[in-house]
Amino acid sequence: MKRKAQAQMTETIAVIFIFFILILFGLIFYARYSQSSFAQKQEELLAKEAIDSTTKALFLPELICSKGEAEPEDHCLDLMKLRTANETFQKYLTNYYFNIFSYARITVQEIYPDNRSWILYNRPKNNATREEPTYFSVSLREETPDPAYSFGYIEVRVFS
Amino acid sequence: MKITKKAQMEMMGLVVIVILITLGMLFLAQFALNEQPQKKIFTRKGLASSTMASLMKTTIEETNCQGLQFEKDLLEECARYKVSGYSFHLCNGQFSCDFIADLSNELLNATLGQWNKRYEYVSRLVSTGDVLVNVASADGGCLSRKTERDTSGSFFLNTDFGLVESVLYICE
Repeated sequence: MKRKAQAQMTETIAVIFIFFILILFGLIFYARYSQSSFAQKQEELLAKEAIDSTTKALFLPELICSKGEAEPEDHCLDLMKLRTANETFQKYLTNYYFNIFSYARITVQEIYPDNRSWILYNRPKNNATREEPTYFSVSLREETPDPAYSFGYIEVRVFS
Repeated sequence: MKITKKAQMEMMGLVVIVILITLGMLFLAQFALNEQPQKKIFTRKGLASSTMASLMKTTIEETNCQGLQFEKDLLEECARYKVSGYSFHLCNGQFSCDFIADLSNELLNATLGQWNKRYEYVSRLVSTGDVLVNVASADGGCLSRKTERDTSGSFFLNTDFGLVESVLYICE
């Protein structure tokens, strides 16, 4: 009788031990998942910031192709505006554009027919641990004498 | 009676273990089949439509075709060539369909290709289904693949030779 009770006790202890081992595994798994999901969340936030900045850059009145009061052209940057934009961006960098783009670099690259590039905004973060580039293809419109469209892209790189 | 009760208890224990394992599996599956981040989808869709819109608007600078527009002039020219076998322009000595294919491949490769995106650009005559241009990335296009893909949407051009539909597909 006593032996049977001892065996049952051992069995119970073994079951409880395995149960706690399982709980421990669960906790370790959850901790690892929390860590990775936190990192993923941070990356998602940075990606969202990159998208927001790109959208803002694409629709900036200082860059977009417009014609009087007509509707501006989508996915199009005006080369005439682009040539002088850097000067304006530099002038109002801290008191206006930083509030819009924060730590970022915005570059426009022409691919066809020429190969020119313009750095519009450049405010990298000194101790940045992550950076996220977002690209969008754009047309670059030259107004004189008839409108001609080059092919290029805008790169918005945000830092965090 | 006592033996039956013990057997019932053990059965219950087994059921609990099975339930726990099933829950664990479901938990793992939930993370494994995690949905794609919104950024990827937005970027693919936005990229496809912006690339196609920019490509269609591009003004050609090559000899004999200077000042012509990619979609309005050259794609119409390509449709004319396919239907009637006659072409007004030879851009850089090439027929418009070949020139369009080469130029679009060059531009798409310099953008989407550099950003590690697979692409496939197709222009076809809606009435007959004839393919005018079909350009795909070097490592394969998107139409034959069963991966996630997005399109630029259809860009239609009404020509004297029928309606031309152009679509750009971007996939991973």
